[in-house]
Amino acid sequence: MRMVKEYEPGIDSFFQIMVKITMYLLYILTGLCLLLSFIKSRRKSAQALKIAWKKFSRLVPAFSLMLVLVGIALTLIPDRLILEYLGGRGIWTAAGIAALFGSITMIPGFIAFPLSGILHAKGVAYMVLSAFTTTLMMVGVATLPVEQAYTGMRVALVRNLISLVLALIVALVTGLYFGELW
Amino acid sequence: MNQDTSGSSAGMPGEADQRPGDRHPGGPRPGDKNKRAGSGSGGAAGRIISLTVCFLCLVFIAVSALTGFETGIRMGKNLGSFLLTMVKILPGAFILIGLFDVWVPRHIVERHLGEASGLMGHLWMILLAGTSVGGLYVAFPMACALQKKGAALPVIFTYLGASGICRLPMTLFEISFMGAEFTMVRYLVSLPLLVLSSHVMGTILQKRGFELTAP
Repeated sequence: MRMVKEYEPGIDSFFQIMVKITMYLLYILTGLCLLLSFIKSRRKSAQALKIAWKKFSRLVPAFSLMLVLVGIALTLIPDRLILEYLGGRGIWTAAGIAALFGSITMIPGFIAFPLSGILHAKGVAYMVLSAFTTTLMMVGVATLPVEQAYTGMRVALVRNLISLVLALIVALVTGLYFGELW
Repeated sequence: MNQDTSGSSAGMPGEADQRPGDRHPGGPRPGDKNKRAGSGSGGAAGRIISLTVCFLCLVFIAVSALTGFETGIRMGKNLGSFLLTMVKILPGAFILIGLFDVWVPRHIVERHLGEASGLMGHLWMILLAGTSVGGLYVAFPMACALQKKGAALPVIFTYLGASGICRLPMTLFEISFMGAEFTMVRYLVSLPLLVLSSHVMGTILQKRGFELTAP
């Protein structure tokens, strides 16, 4: 019932294709909406594009800072290091390190999950992997520049702290569910 | 393919997009803007600092490329590939947000996602977040547009959280590499807790007159 794939770098082109399909869907949807909009009202469509540009251009500084943070995080914490740190440790220590890595970096899903697949094949517990992938998805130190531009730093920090707690609870329950804690 | 068109056809910044009447039917909430003015969010100084940091980073990468400093080059590559992903996603996402802003009537958002929407509002947001692309960096502009149309804060926090937790493409990866049980446990634990925490946080902040502000 559990279908865990082995990670083979050459084989995951299927997943690359899936990412591409998502992208195509996004642009087909955008194109259709834009077309309908232009048919209904050119003035309103122009206004929509103007709003889109304005919203985007104002976010450029925050986006660029985020890019730099992601660049730094991905460079300082490469995949190899994650492999090295999570194997062969006590489950609690490993989960802690995993949560730390997951919070700091921002690895796209199509790299993070295959990586977790290898880690599991190497004997890393589900709880540790859950701590890693869940914080990766829920806690974003790198996206803080974008987030604080909208909510201010205090709310951004509180929201991320709450997310971290939720992610840790998820990891804990995962550990209990797979019987890794007793 | 559409990157060029979106960029050039919309290249007229500086127009006011706030139509009167579109914001806060219950009257403006005084004090909120001032309260956060000092937190430095998106201010001119913040922008200058961000851009300076980026510039320094680019200089560092350029120097590394010239001198063959390997860490710097790797950083450049990482940065480049992430930039590419963003360049692919952002034009489409922002055009959709712009269209949403112009076409979706306020009363519909208010009815389904407003303060009286209850649990259904949260469910709608989980669905919306599940089918959207990108990460938080796309979710925030969208959340801001939703709030402007009358979506309540608790519901918005659910949207932000869910856009991390349950995006569909990511979930498919997760299931195929980690197994369906792993994903099931994560969903069953995180979604109820997310709705609960969003409700608490959103209600408290709403009482204080907090709102997302576009930078």
